[in-house]
Amino acid sequence: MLGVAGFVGAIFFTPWVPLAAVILLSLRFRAYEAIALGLFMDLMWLPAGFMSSVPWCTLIAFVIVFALEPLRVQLLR
Amino acid sequence: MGAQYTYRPRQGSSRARRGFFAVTALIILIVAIDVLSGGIVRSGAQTLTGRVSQLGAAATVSIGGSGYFSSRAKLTAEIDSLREQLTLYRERAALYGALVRENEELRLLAHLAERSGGITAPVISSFRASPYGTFHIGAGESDGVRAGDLVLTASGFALGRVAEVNAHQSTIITLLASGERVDALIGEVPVVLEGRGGGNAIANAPRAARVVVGDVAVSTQYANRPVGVVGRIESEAASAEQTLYLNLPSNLASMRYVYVVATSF
Repeated sequence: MLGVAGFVGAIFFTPWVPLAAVILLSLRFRAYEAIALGLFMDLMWLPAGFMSSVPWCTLIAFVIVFALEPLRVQLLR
Repeated sequence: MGAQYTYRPRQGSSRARRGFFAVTALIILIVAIDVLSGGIVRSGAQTLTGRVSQLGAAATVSIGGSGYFSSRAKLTAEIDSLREQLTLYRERAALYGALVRENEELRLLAHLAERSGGITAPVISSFRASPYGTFHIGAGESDGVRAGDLVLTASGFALGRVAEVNAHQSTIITLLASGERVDALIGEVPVVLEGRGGGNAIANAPRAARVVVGDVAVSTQYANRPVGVVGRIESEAASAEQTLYLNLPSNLASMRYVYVVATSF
């Protein structure tokens, strides 16, 4: 549901909605759909492709998912 | 009695590493396919989301028109209509001032500018959803849109430029997107507008410059089109500069059509 809300938010609402979805997904799971959400936002909204702009959404989602890995490991023990 | 401790491996588990490399490889593959194919992945994603966005807008209209929220909907519609009228009057007033100045300059130079033809295109995405200040329009290469074309509001304010063109839709980056800079003139004062997103920008002008709220900023980069209106001025006695806050007089959230003109700059 969080993933779906994130994808819907990426189309209709401000970027804070998918960002919140990525963070919430990453807190509980090693959620690859969070990275997919970041990639989806870059595919949709990057001005002129990956060669001309930095895909910040993908990178931020990547960092959030894997940077929170130690926290998840500790919390889920 | 052994001390209890939370064991955590010094290094990540092999499973986590495999997952990390797999996800990285998949992302690189998708990006490579997109780059090598000339944007086919992005084109597909943007086409799909354009349709979803239009379906969502149609669903919203249907639900609102079903009569379930009729009393509240009527009041809301009336308020929106009045706000649009007010916005339109402000745009016209600002554009009138810009046109008067332009006319005076042209009279002095004894030179007349020509208006170029353009294309009316529907806006098919949300203005606020993009983190890069971009949006999509339902006109593309088949309609005569080219990368670099200028996008105007209904009242002639420069809104953005065409960043990418597909067959039937295009991606527009707003001139006042966060991180964008536009060279402009406010009267005779040259300024650099720094985009803040959402049709807003900030600029610094010398404290002695004669700038008042309501002045129109005209872009020297984009065919001398108006790009914003001064909404607020801040100055401190100890500073040699005054800070200008500009915005587009158009309501981006309610904008349904834009005008695309071919231009070379």
